[in-house]
Amino acid sequence: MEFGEESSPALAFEKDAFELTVEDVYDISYVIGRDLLKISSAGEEVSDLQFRIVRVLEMFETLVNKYNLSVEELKLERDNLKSELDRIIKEGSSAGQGTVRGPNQLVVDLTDPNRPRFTMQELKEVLQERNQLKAQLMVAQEELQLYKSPYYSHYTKETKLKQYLQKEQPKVPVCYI
Amino acid sequence: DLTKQLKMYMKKVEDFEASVQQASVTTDPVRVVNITRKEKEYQGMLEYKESDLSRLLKYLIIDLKPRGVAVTFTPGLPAYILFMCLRYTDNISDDRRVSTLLNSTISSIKGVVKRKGEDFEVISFWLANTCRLMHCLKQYSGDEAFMVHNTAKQNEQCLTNFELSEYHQLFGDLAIQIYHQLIKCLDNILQPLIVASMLEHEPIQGVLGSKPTGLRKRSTSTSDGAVTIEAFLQRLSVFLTTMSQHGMDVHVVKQIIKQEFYVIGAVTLNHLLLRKDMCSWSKGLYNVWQLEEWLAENELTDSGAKESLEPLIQAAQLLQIKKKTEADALAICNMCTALTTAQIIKVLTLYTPVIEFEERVSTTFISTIKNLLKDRNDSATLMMDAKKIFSVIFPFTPSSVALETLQIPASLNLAFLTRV
Repeated sequence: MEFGEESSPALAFEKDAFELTVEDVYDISYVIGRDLLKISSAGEEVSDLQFRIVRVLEMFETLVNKYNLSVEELKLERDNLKSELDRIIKEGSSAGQGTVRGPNQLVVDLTDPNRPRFTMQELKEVLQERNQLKAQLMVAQEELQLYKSPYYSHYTKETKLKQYLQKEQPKVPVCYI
Repeated sequence: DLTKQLKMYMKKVEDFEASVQQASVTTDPVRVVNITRKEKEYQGMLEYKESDLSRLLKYLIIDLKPRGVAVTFTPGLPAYILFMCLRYTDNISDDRRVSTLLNSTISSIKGVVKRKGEDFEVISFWLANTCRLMHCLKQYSGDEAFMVHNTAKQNEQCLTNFELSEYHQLFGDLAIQIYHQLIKCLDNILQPLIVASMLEHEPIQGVLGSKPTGLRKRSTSTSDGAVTIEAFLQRLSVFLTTMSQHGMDVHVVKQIIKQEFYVIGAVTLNHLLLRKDMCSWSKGLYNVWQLEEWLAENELTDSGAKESLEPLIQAAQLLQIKKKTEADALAICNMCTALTTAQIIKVLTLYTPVIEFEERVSTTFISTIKNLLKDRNDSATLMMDAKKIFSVIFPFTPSSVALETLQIPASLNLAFLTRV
């Protein structure tokens, strides 16, 4: 408690609503009661009013109490959660990379060059393309072998000569050498 | 044919209505008169069943907290409620119930005071309410001496069947008992703080141990835990506010303050007389002046508190005053009317000047003083009696509260009482 904290009851009226304590409610009660006493010369008229004001103040007391308690509870819970969070973070950083956290969870270190980077779909497409290219390569290689063989070159020359001769001089008898 | 008849009669009715309307215009209009339900007139009594007495005592006395909406709104409310119950038992002319109610009230209050003797708020609360109940017994006794300030209605509400003046005495004794407990409680709280607040030059860290009972949200010392005169007075202010809110009679409050100021003075002076280094008490007059200022601020100058500080005030002045010549000696003797010879001599002997070149009081000077005071026949005692308690009186203080207007707030859990 700080020095100079006001003990004058009337100052409770100037507080912010959310800063009120039950003690303030009692101080307010005292001031209002005292003020009402000044005008209660004709007692009957004021009696019901006084009673209702007291009722309202009682409700006010309950609310302020409940509010302050709730605030305290929430603060406590928040602090507990905070310290638990800190604790878990600490544990996490000391356990290494890619640690399994919860069910179906994976932690990945972004500086790791061998970290998983591609999706299943991307992988499938790449493999499909590779298989296709491989197949085309095999066909191309076979064709190349064929072009390289002696029979194929001879066959090609003969065929080409025939074609030439037939084209240029169709009536001249062909003599085989 | 019937249709024709119907039409004919309808026409007749219309004509008749028209003629009536015309007629009524010429006669006086009927005044609308309100019928109001008569307000139930209450007599300011509270009916209760005998079997409910222990519940009444439990909720209204034994378990009642001295701080709550109901009791701060109407100071003295428990006293008024008890008195209204008493009026009921008087009204039904049941002497057994009258005495049971009053006797068990007294014993319940005694029980609370005993159990919660260290709690200033509780003791103050019950001193205020006991006094109020006692004043009610007198105010509504029918004794003309106590009816001077009554309204006509209050006079109507005086006790009708029983004469209870013996209970005035019983409640008076109870009040004195509670008063003594209150003083004891205050002393326990304040005494450890007096020396530190009044005498030390530097603030002392954390003189207090645990927070004493009887102080809730109120501040105790400066923010760094130091005990200074300002903090001490702040605490006194809190006590004062608490007592006012309980509805304690001003005359009683003043006697309490006077008593406490006496204790402050006595404890401080005794300490001064024992400790050599304190006799250069430079802050002395300042602190005493602060006390006087506090009295003025709180309209307590007529409480006699300043007078009970007189020995200390004079001792403080004695430290300041010149102490060299015969004229000085004479001045001192004339001034120190509240100090005994032994005390004056002791202060002079112990006096240690603050300023280095100033001399201590010479032995010749002291002899001069002794000589001047030899005709005084005061006691040889050096120390003041710090345990002395002035006797207390409770002057009659009537209340203007109209009992028939009092309604019992729900938070007191006294729904079993019926307003009569």
